[in-house]
Amino acid sequence: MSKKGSGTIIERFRSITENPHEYAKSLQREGHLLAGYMCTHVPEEILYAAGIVPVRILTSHVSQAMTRSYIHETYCSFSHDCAYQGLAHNYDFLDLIVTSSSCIHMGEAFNVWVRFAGFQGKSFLIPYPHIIETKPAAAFMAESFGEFKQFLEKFAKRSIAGEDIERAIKVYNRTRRLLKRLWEFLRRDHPPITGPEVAMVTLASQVMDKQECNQMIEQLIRSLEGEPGKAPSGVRLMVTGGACDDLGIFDLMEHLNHSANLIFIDSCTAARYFWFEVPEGRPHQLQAIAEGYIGRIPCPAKDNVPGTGEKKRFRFIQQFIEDFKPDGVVFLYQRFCSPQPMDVVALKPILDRLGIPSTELELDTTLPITQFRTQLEALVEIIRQVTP
Amino acid sequence: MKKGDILAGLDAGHVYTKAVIMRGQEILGHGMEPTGFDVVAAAQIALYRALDNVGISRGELAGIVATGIFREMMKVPPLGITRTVADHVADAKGALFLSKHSRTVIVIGGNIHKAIRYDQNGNTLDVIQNDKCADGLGIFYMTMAKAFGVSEQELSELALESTKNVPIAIQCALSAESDAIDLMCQGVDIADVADAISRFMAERVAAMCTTISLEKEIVVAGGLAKSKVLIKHLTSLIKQDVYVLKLPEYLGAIGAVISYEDGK
Repeated sequence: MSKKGSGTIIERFRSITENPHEYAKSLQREGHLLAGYMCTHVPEEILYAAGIVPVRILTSHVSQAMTRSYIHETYCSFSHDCAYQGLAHNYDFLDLIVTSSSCIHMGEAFNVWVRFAGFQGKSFLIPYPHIIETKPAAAFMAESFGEFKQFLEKFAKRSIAGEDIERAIKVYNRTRRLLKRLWEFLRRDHPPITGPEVAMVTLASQVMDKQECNQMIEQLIRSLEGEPGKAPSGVRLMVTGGACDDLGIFDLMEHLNHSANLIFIDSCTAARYFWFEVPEGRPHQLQAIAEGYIGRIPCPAKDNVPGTGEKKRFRFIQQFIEDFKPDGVVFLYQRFCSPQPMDVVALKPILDRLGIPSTELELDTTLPITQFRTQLEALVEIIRQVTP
Repeated sequence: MKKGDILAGLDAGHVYTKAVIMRGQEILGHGMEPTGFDVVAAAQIALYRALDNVGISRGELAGIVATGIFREMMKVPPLGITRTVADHVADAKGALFLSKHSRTVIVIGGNIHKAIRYDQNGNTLDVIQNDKCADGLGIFYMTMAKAFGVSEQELSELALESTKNVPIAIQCALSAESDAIDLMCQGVDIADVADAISRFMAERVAAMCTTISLEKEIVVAGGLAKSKVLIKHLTSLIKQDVYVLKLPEYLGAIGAVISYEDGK
């Protein structure tokens, strides 16, 4: 892609993704308070309403054993790596660290930061219902968010008015709509942007000030609308799974011996992060936020409809398959994240019925490029036989 | 037994069985043999190698003290074991004997690595041993050397030539091995892969050491202590100086004899 037009903006996003600490520090120099958050169940809108910029804690991709003395060996490498970011003091500049009681592994990473990395006096754990699809969940969440708001008011030494939260909801919904539009380019046969680029922009959005992010995505979309599509298009691959901020795996999918394109990612570092909206203009903003977060694509760890065994996420996945028309699906999940591979058992027969071949890749701190390449090329070979 | 008697120490480990011959505080000779399935046979071979090394006969020994993971299996008639000593006791006593200012020994063996803190008399104060996922560092190292088609010493020397830091998975020896092979498939320089392997092992040992108070001076023993690159990474990770003991793989066998002498 040329460095003009969309290329320049994409490079800016890439720079932020590759240097999130530098970007965050630049915000701090401008006078912003910064809060690290460890799970996408944290209602960023409330932080934003308090004048605090939420910055997602992502991994360092450093292979280390230091965290083995702090959290259990069989917790995922994503949580180990995020814990390491604290122990290595890579985020000492943050004003606050926040998570929700959603993912046990990330909860332990959070505990490491609080107990051993100097964040004891500047942390908040948001109680989150274990089962979201129940009647009391919304009220429970609204109450939790209320306590969080009170904590932030004390922390930021300012009151947070309903209008502040409403404004934040609008900014965040804007981000969600823009990201959705960006991903929808990939529904085309010849999109003007690649899947790995869209994944990278989505990842950048999670560490950015949303107003700046929105301006940049708007510019990018305007630019892309006037650009020709890229050719040739290849086998369309959709990813579903867990947190993955190692963009190398997505680049690999587009650099196989056979032509293949990444066209969708269902994960909390991609679509699950933004594929929902919080209702606007409601009298009770915290209730509206609770409603919005309940309505999102659930994380497999939270995807439990009591009494039915139904997986709500599967409905979304089937819709994405209908809209984005993948030829094959890659299950990409963190090793030791039990809810993800357990979903595969139930999801695979659905894909089989739809005639969509799939493969599984297990993530660790490092990417075994040649092993993954072999598996992906085998998948593409199978797809080419199914749909010549 | 009286002063001046010659004693043998036997340390039957997961990978090698080691024997030393000592007269009082003097190490006269040593020998080793892969342990394999027949521990008693391996112990006998190691013992006779050590006796040959000194130039004395089996009948001249006043006693044999055994330690190591297979020590109880050596208590059979052909060997005539006088006494057995627990591994950590032998290691602590042996480390103090070999380095009188030492107070902590890190032992990196074939299957187990451990750290032991002891007092000025070699009495154990604290012990930490690797968790299950970090089992078999020595065996892993041997496997990797074989995969590279080099000796263990050559693998260590190769790593010292590394110019680039490449990461490998740290979860366990199996995933590290899988990653190392993948790096080879990617055409990464063998020196850099060798260094990544050594760093992986040092990371695991250093991680274990965070749960024990490492009192100075810190000494290192076990077969892997002979790897210069491993010691380099370990020193950097635990941010403390460490000293490699003389005859590092014979620490347990030496310590067994010293423990017996102390306990007389």
